[in-house]
Amino acid sequence: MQVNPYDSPKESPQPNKNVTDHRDVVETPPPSERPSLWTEMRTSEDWLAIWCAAVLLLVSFAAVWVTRPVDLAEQVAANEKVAVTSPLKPYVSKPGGWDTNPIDAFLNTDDAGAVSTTIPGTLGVYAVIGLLFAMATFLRGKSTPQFLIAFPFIFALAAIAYTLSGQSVIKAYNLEYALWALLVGLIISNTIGTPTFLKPAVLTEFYIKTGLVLLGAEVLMSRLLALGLPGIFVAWVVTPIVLVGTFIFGQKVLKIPSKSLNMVISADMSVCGVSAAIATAAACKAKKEELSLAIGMSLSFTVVMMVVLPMIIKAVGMDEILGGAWLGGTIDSTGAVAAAGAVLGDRALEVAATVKMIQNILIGVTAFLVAIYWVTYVERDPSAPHPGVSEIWYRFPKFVLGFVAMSVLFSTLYSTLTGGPELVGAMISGSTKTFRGWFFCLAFVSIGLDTNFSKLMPYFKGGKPLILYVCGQSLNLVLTLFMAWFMFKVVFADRISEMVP
Amino acid sequence: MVAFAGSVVAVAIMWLVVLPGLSKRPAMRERLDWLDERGIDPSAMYYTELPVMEEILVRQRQRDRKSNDVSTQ
Repeated sequence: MQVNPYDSPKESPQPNKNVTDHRDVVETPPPSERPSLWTEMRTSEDWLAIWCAAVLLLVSFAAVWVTRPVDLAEQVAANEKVAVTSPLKPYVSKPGGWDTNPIDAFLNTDDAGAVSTTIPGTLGVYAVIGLLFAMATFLRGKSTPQFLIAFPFIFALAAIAYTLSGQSVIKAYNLEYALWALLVGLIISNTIGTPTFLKPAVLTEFYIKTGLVLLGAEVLMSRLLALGLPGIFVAWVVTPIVLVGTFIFGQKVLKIPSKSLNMVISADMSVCGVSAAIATAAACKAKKEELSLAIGMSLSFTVVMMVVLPMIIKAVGMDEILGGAWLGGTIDSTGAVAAAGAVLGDRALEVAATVKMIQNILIGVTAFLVAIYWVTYVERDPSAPHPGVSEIWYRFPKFVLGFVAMSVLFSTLYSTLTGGPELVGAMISGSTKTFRGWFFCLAFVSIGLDTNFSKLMPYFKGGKPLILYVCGQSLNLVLTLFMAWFMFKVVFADRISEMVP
Repeated sequence: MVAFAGSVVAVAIMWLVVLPGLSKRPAMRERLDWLDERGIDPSAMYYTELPVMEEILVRQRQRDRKSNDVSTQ
């Protein structure tokens, strides 16, 4: 097996002495041989991912805060529609949508008809990520010049993937950039082979962890109450039951050998598709091939469900609120939920998108609990005593703490600042969600460049992942429909018109 | 190298010929315009990437602020 010396130690193939025959059990060095916390904070990939994301969030929020309208408080008090924008927006962008000419991906037309280009914004992202990661590479003790030679090529591949995903027909069927980034990488690695000089910038885990810490700022807890108790019951009661039930089914009935594959499929099917798969895969240290497989299955089923479910709802004459809640709780991907909900009507769209948003927020809790479960139960030797606090702390993926910390911090700013929703919203839409998208796109290009088709084949053996997905999704469909009916049509039936006028 | 060139040509044909051709078909055009009008990007991975979500959240926020004002009066 080819080793990428730029991978994190966890990602590189481990020598036999570190990993026992049981693939999930990981032996750790004794406390005396472990690096100090200070050393880890300066040099480990997890901590550097937190610092890189924190710098981006700090600069992005400061830019919005400094340029906020002087009469923001008055506008909020008057309950006017408040317009807050990020001054960084023109310098942070990505290739956009296009119909027939891919060059249109680099052109933007605003509401007034003025045409601008996304090229400066794309180059801005390139410069910022290149600079941050060059510094991180230096701190990790790797070769910065080699990273700087490789990074432009990896970034260009990510830009190609974004351009492919921007084609209007591709977008209309929920085929997200992750898929095309994988494809771009796979074409290279499985035909001419990934050139060695690219390896220093093939940093799958580092990109994913940095993107996830940025995503933490978008996990705003106060939005949990957007649909009141009915929304919480549909999204936060059914989802954990389906997740845990599917995981146990995979282990006890299907006996799927890889616990991490089982967990990633369970999470992406029950929570919210690709974003949940990325977060859970990082939390349980799943293999790249496992993440690719889970995402491929999720996107395939989503395309079918976004077309078929609204047809079923219409055919049986289901109420649009109930139908919207059912769609929001079951279809994996956020965009597909909105497309399916809009077929039923505006109220269905609002309920479907809001239920999915509440589910989106579950990502943080899911990643945190999965990380705790993994280091406490899965990675330990069953014959050894339970690990102590220091052992759990050592094994715990620290970037998850950054993810949760950013969620708490920006949820607090959202709720406590005057105009908090507008300020945090402008930061996210103006810059951080674009950076996060690029990090995930770079990660999937890297996965493709590191993956051999032949490594994917064993996962399809016996069709167990497919059976797991189908059984889990069936449970999800039944439980969500029951809970949505019970909440929206029985318990809160008389209050729904106030919630969704 | 042949496999690589073949893959690149296949991708180019798909994205430069087949998909643009599909997007010009009336039924597809109608669907794309319908999605655009509603601010729906079906490829959105997270709610913050969905243009229509911003409108929904603004509406919900204004409703909440209005009901808070009423309850404090």
